[in-house]
Amino acid sequence: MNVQEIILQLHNFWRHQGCLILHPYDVETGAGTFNPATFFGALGPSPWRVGYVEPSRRPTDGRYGENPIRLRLHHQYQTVLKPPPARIQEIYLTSLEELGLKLVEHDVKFAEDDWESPTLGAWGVGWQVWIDEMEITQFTYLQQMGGVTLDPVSVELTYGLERIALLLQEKESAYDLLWNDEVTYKTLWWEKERQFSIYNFEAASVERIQEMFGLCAEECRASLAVGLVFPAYDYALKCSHLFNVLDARGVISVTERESFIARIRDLAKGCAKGYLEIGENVA
Amino acid sequence: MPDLLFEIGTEEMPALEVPRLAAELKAESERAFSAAHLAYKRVDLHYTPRRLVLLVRDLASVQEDQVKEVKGPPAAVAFNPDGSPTQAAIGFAKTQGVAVEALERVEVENKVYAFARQTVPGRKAVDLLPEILPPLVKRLHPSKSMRWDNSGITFLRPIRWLVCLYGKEVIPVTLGTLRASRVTRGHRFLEQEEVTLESAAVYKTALEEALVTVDPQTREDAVIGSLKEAARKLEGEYLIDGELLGRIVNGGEHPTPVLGHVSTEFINLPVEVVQATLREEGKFVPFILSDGTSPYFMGFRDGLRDEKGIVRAGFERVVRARLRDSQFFFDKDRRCSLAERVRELRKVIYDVRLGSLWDKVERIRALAGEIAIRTGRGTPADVDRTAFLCKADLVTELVKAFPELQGVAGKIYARLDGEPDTVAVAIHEHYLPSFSGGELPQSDVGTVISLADKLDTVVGALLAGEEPTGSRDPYGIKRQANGLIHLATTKGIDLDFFDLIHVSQEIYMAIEQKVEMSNVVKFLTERARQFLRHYCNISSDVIAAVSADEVGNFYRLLRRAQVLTTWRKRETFQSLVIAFSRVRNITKSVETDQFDPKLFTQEAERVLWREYLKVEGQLTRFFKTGDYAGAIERLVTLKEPIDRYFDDVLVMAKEEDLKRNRLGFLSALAGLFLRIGDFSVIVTDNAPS
Repeated sequence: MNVQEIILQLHNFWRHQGCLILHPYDVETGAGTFNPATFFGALGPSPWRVGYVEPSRRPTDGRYGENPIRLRLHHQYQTVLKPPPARIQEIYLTSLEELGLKLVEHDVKFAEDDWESPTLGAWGVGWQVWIDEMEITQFTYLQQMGGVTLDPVSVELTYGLERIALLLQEKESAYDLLWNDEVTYKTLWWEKERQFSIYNFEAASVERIQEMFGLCAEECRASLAVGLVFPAYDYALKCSHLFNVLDARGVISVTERESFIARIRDLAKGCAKGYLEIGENVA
Repeated sequence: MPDLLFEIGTEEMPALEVPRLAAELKAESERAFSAAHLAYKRVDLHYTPRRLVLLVRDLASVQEDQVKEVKGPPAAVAFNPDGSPTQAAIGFAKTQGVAVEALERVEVENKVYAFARQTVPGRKAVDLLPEILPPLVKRLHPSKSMRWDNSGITFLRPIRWLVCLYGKEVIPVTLGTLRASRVTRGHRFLEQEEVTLESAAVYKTALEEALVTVDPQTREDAVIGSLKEAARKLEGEYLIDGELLGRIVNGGEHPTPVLGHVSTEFINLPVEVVQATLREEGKFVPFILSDGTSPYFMGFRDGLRDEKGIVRAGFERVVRARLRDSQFFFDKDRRCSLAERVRELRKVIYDVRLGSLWDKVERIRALAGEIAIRTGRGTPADVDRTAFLCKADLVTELVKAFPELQGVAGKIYARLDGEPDTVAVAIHEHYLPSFSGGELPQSDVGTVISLADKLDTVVGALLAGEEPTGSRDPYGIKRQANGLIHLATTKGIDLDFFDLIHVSQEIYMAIEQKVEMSNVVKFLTERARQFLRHYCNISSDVIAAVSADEVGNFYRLLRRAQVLTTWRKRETFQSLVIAFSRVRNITKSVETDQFDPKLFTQEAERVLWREYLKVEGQLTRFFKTGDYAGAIERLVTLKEPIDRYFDDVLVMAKEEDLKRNRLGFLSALAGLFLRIGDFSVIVTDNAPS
């Protein structure tokens, strides 16, 4: 099964579970959780089911295209179900079977991994799902988002699309994956991995990125001040990404990291608070 | 009598936490059964990541009968003089549900009362269990609790099913939205996951058939058995610690071994790196062969044997990918030498208040140099080179990926760079002990750098205002201080660390000091006291005796404490304590120890003075070598003259100058004892308390 078939299959599966099928967000994110469909979707009391692909940028994970599975940009398939169905583990495992994985022939483990995003003021309880000791999914019962305790809670399933494709296509390097039956992952992504790795680790201007961070944080706060939570959230996302670039550049110390993260978290909290004040129905 | 089965079925609980929770459940249930007067033979403890199980053997079907006694009105009020019941007695008997004739007279504290006594027949276990069992769950203490629905129940992971059988009978226990039945779940990947249990007694066998080994000990034996078997065949050893074992044994319901091979493409990767990669996230157990290589590992699949080799191929693929990652880090690190890498430490902030890692290295160099000179350990060149290089591996990719390789990576790279082996080894050792009671550095250089690093971490953090409070201790300075004291005492480091801090004050000049240096001394003194108490089993009175003043020579502090601990049991010592206490009590508030022997008027004064001079001279020698036992032996000779002194001499003389002179002399005398400790606070059997 090629990568785009996997995506279509997952869309189809989750569509039947009542999920809205949405799209990646158009601001850089480090994970599908940062997409407003999850960040805001998890807040408030109304039921919410959604599925979408999220290209997730993690500058420090870049390996100049030289590592077979560690990527600066990987693709997540993200689903959120609020409230979680009682047999959500079984539903999830069925989605794997429908991708053509014969689970009885593999080792499947739900290994403790309590997910936490200090920048989003979010945490949850759950697992990494390992197939033959390869992590393919982050499975989380979200308990807090933007510093707000969730009621009801949501379950968030984040599939690592490259990892799943490696299993299904029995490949060892992501670059050997077939996106469709003709085009390889390498054709699509290798040069981008190489260039962005050089950029993130070596070329990015620390001064300008720091300045941009400051400007975006300012813009976020200014938007919050006038009750514009969605524009504010876009700038919080930009701050998060710029911080990740600075981190990859190796210019952030342990203590500075804490203060950067706290600044971004405050912005995210402001967005969550503002959103709930407006009332989720308006959204 | 029938067995009781209570199974709490959950989504996968964390492997390392299940055993503790299960033990809590067992203890709580035992407490609850005895409180409910329900007899049983024993509670068997079973668990997997998906279930906590109470198997109560031979649980009584009926509660023991209970005798209930209720005190009523005083007999004088309850009964008429002729013995007939009054209205009060009739009313009391009625509310208690006993016949008025059955009321008894019982004397309580010299007064007689009417008593209603009745035997309450025990209730049936089947009726009691629904009241006893659900609250047990709420009494457990998971490390983290979560919500998963709106039932209001919180637990470590969602609870999805309950089984409760008393013999063959289903007990309708409820918890949140769940109601117990006789249907449990077998292994997740069996075609027919649900298993209907006929009775509690068949539980273990039925689940074993459904590929779930509910007894953790059976799982552990199987895991260890397969590791041993493989090690024997490979003629090597397996490397496992308790945590990794726990993850495997409690990370699945039916762990089954899968032996894998490490691809030969990683032949040049240091074996420590290969092992760290395999052990990462508690996945695989490395084997080490007699030639020092680690070409095999064992993983554990949760389920049936991997007949087709699909899981093995998957494991090997994961290992290959991870090792390529490690190889990438290693190759990238090797592009420049450790010594060249030191430069990068300037860019890494150790702490905004304490500067960069390079600043820390400079402080370690200064302290280590001083320690080396004062203790004569390590050559200055090796000490300085090690101090210079010791933190360089923190900016290597390998340590960023595997923090537990800090020091180990430094050692590997230093060797590859051609640094002296003493230096390479000491780079690794300077992190030791890495946990309380852990392995100590073997080499002198490693010891010196370890002391310097730990001292700097503690002093720096405290000066910056990071005194640990409660559980907050961001730099782990309690542990660092314990490591320092442990190392200094064990290695016999005859060095006053407070003195060292004071002469090295200038290395902290660049820091904006939030607290005085005296706070550092106070903190370390307290840690030293704790160390004596908890690691050396020194009693608190001896600790008080030796650490009344702040004591920076931890090695000598322990020696003094040990000598006093030995001596305190002897009778001679006890009388010496009494004699000393007289000296100590009278001089407590005296500020001078100056005196003029010419002003002595009595023979007893002169005798004591002469003895004092003799002992003082000898003591100087004993103190120099740290022979405190010898010193005490000399002090004992002062007992008689002290006693005589107090018999003959009036210290508080009317003449002010005589009085001042005597107090000065006694202060000087007390000073001799105080160099070992304040004997007066030691509790001896016949000493006045």
